[in-house]
This record gives sequence, C-alpha cells and structure tokens, in this order.
Amino acid sequence: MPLLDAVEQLRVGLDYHLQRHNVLVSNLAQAETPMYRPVDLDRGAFDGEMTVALAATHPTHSGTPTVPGTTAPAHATFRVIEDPTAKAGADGNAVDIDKEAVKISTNQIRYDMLAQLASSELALLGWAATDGRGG
Amino acid sequence: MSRIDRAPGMFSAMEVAATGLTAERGRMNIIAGNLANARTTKTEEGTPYRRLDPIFVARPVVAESMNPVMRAVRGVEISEVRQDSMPGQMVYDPGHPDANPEGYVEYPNVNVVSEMVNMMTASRAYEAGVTSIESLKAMARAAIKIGR
Amino acid sequence: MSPVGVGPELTIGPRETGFDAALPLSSPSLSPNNPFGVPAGTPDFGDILKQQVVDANKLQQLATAKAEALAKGAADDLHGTMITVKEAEISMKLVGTVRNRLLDAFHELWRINL
Repeated sequence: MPLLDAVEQLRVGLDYHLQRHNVLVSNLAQAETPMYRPVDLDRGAFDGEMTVALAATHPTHSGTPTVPGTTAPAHATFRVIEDPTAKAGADGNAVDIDKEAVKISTNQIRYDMLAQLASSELALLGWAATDGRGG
Repeated sequence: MSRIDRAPGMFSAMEVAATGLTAERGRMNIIAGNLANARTTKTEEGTPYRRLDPIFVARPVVAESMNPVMRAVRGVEISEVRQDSMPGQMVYDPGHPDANPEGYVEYPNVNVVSEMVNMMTASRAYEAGVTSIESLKAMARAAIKIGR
Repeated sequence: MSPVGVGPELTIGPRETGFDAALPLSSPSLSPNNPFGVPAGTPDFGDILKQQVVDANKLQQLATAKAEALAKGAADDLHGTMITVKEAEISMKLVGTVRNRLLDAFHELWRINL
C-alpha cells in the first residue's frame, strides 16, 4: 500500500536510531576496556537506504517489506563503522566518555522526533482513510 | 526473525548499560579498597598491601549473532581482579614496627592521586551509563505514544 | 450497432459516428460486455475492494502477531509494533470507507434509474 510508504520510512529511521543507541551504549560500557576503539552506525548508508527505498516503485524491492505493498526494506541493516580519528590512551582504549554521552543525547532527541512525526503521519492517514467524514 | 538474526533493540541496550554500571561500581569498590589500604604496611599475609586492578573484558550480548550490528553490541565484565606486583615505596624508618633489618619500611604500591583519577573516571562512566538508561526510557515512552 | 433503416450504402457503422471514432483503431474487440474496449485484466472496483480487504487482513494478522510477541516478552520492537497496529487500523478504516463510497455511488445511480 503506497499510502503507508511515508510511515514505513519513518519506521526505518526509528530502527536506525534505536540500533545506534545500542552501539553507543556499548562504547560507553567499554570505556575502560583495553584496546577498544569506539564504533558507530554509518549515517550515510542509512540515508542511502532511505533514498533507495523512496525511489523504488516495486513492492518487493529489497526482500520482504515490513508491510506488504510498501517499498521500505523489512529489516534494514546498517553499517558499523570505526572512528579512525579517536585518540587512544595508554591502554589502547580510545573511548571519550563525554563524546559518547553527547551522541547518546542527540540520538535520543532524533528518535523522539521521528516518533512524533510517525504519530502525526498516522493521524493524517487515519483522517484520510475515513475521508474526513468518519467513514 | 530468530534470535540470532535479531537486530539490537530495547532489551539489548538495557543489558549493555547494566553491565557497564555493574563493572564501574565494581571498579569503584576496588579503588576504595586501594585507598583505604594505602598505608597498610602489614596485611594478614605479612606483606604490605598490594593494590588491586580490575581487568575489563567485552562480552557480546548475543553470543553468535548473524546480525552485523548486534555483533558490535557488547557489554563489559570484570574478568579478574589482579594484584599489582610492582613494589611499593621504601621509606627509611628504623623505629617503625614493620621495618626490615635494614631499617626500611615498604609501603603499599598505591598512588593516591592516580587512584583518585581512576575513581573520577569510573564515576563519570557510571553517571553516563545512568543517563543512557534514562535516554532509553525516554525513547520507550516516545515509542509507546505513537498513534495515541 | 445495428444500421438505421436505410439502404446499405448509407449504413451507419461503429467507425463513422463521432463517439466511436474516438476509440483507437487497434482497440481490443468491442463487445456488449465491453463496450468501451477496456483492456483485459484491468481491475474493476470489486477487484480493488477485494485486494484492499486482503491487504487489510494481512496487516491485521501482522499487527496481532507483533502485539502478542511484545506482550509475551519475545520481542522488544516498541515503535514497530505501535506503527503496525495503527497501520492495520488505518487499512481497515480504508476498506470501510471505500465500501461506503461505492455503495453511495451505487445508490445514486439506482436513484437515477427510478
């Protein structure tokens, strides 16, 4: 159902930010692990997925869609990347606690925003589905 | 989607954060022990106190995940608490009850400043962990509100 | 179209009237059941409604499955479940609305005949 495409894009966005939260929290947990280098999810790849999904018109573009008939990929996989600029300390650990904490905060704000957008979009679709008249 | 395929979600994030809190609290306890014994020249073994050092090791949340993102999601664990075998400072004090035949007392190999710095790091990491759990809770609340 | 009662050289056939001249020359066979030459396989309103019911059903099943998994603790996809549940609701509403509009249209036409 192409009607639901926009919401499905938002769902992929929400998936991305939740998975990213996991990766960032892992960095934080490894703050004292020797030789650990912090990782993140590739934002470029995420945007790329969205663009591809938007452009696709075939319902089964990348495997089974989340919702039958939409173009968003069902279980979008994101790319884990390392930060090459992170400075390692004496034990080889390159995690900056403050940097990760800030990333976690901004990531959460983006997740909240996408959730709000999803709500608005669903409300709009609900109104449209009843033709503005309640059926 | 089977468990090994699953992408990280709310459960895994909570688990990871919890392991971080536990590990940092463990570290703070060990540091507190080091600080408390910084001047202990004779322990039950008869030797001066040797400082303890936790060894941190990463533990994946899902053992052999097929999901590339889940593979990067790892909690932490103190795998062992090692005794630091570096000798402590020798201070010439022949009147001290624990002085050796040459008149020197061996003090614990605890560097108070260094322990305090470690304590601060552990404390910051702990707080950041608590904040990350609050963030997760906020995200869950936002998710529940969808469609309301 | 049957010829009007005139001689053979003045028979008015389908190709000569202005109305039918609008049809492409390569139009599929016109028949009483298909007077406008709609290509075979084009869905009619009945098909569209049927497909929507099927989609709405699938979505409903998916939503129920996700909600169950969440309730049982087997899954933790909060935003995904909420979105799917709402989508199922919307597609159900859509079916109802389409059905009502079709009925409205039918009643209007019915009134015209009478």
